[in-house]
Amino acid sequence: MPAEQTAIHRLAVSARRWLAPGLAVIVLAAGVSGVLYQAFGKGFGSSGNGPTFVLVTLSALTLASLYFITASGFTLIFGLLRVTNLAHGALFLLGGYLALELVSNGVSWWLAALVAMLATGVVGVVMHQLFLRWNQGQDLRQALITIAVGIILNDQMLAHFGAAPKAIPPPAGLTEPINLHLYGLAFPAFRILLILAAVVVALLFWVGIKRTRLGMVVRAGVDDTSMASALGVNVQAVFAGAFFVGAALIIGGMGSLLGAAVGALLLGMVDQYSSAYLPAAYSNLSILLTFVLLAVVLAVKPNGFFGRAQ
Amino acid sequence: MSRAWTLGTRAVLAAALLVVCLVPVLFSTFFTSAVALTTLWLGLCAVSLTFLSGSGGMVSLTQTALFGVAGLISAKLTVELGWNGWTAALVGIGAAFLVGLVFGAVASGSLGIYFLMITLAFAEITYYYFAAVPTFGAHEGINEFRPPAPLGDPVLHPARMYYFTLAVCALVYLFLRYLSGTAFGLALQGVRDDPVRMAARRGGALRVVEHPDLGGLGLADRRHPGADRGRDRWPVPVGGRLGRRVRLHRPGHLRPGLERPLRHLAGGHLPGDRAALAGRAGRRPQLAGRPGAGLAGQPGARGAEHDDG
Repeated sequence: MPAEQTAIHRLAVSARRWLAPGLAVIVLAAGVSGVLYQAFGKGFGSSGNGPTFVLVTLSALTLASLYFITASGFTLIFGLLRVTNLAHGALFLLGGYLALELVSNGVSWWLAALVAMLATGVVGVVMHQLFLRWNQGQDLRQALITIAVGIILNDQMLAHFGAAPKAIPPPAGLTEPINLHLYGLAFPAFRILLILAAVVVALLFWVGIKRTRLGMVVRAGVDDTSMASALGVNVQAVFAGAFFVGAALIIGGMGSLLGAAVGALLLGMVDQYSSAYLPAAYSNLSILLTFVLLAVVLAVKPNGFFGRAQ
Repeated sequence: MSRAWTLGTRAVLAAALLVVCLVPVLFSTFFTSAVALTTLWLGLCAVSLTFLSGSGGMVSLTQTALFGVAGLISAKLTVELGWNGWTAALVGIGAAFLVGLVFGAVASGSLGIYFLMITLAFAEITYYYFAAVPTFGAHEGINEFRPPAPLGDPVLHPARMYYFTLAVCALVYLFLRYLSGTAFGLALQGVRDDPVRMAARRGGALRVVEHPDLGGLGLADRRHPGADRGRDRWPVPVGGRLGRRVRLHRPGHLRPGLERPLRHLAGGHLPGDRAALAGRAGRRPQLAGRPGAGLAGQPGARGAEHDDG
């Protein structure tokens, strides 16, 4: 029966439309209620799991800040220049190792951070000029090129610096923990500074892109490269500059600052809560869950949270 | 291309093929096992990616992960549970097929760079799953995994394993050649060239029709009302009764990407009645390379589509 077929077809279409988001909401609700139950199931007093929850949440926020600072550079490069720089993480790592080398050779922490940022930015610009400038607009090709560059950089650093994790001591004055006045807990001052830095980076980016002349030029160059060139803007220079800022901020919803913030928060939360609250046998699956999160978000919203359809 | 050039290319290719066939005879055991065998199976993995990106425009980074699924499951079954090697290999390939099906279904909503990202996520999920789960040996993996007895020791006596893998490669090549000429293959190329228009067509079957605008052939939805007239006839359906009705209809000037699949459909040769077609249409045959307009637009036309992002 054609009418029946149409009704069944419609049902199937609406089921398909709601299935993935519905499942995502159910999984999210289960995760949130599981975490809240583990945290406050024994009440809100300091004898329960409340203090642990506060510390885990602050750790999650720290991790999210780190992700956000990375992601803001990535989103600047991707969203504005349409370059999917999958070597971004490798550049981040390179900046970290440069700073570590400088600090362990007696350079002050802040100077080391500045030099590492500038050097990473230069590497980013060189990469853009050498590998990405001639194939602007071919995002798949560029993604594959940057994956290759990322793998090469990572392996070189693995060969040179080894596989054991190393820590840079926080700068003088930020080594003491700060009293939170909550359950009698304290949290490292440096980590709180990191959270504040993420907020500052977000504000600077937002003002820079939306409110300044340079930001306007960048947006114009992205929307219509040839038109902006015709109006006398040196688009290649602007793009190279933006790539520098993005790579330097590697200290970096694709294309959307809000998307980067929400994505970073979700990733940080999932990573920290799953390693803290999953049964011990499964706690090493937390990194896997972060990728599950990415896959689920892309399956439900194929362009990310706030990404524009191309 | 001149005739001499074509013949030269073919001669070089034939010589290369001969060398590939004689690798275990010509080269050392080490080269055969460590270089040539690795080249063959990496090539198998690469061809799966090439087929997906070339025919379907999907750059999938999950392919090696699927190889890993098949390998680890086969190893688990033979080494720890003592299964027969061939059965274990089949079950492993079946499992990889099912995992690929699930991954593909979840990723099917994504296009372009987002498809690359979601398949990258799948690859990482697979990697961390196997690295974390002790059942599959975690970081140690599963050791002492041997291929079925008739294939011999791939390290000390790699010749049999080499020829077996070479035969698999040849079969895969022939299968993909066949597949790109079927209705499924043609529809896949349609999705690659214009996913939005392809998605707008549902049901009906594929038909190759004369295309007056292009002075050649296009593909049309059999049930699409405008299929027999007007400019809107190239669209190709997806889903529905695909594959039942692909038939060659008035061949003429072919656009580059279509020619080979159509030759397969027509059993190897096309009448190529270009002049008659042009005469009937009352105009000169045109070059049919309107970028982005057709099912099998120029292979390079995809790059242009991304410029408007």
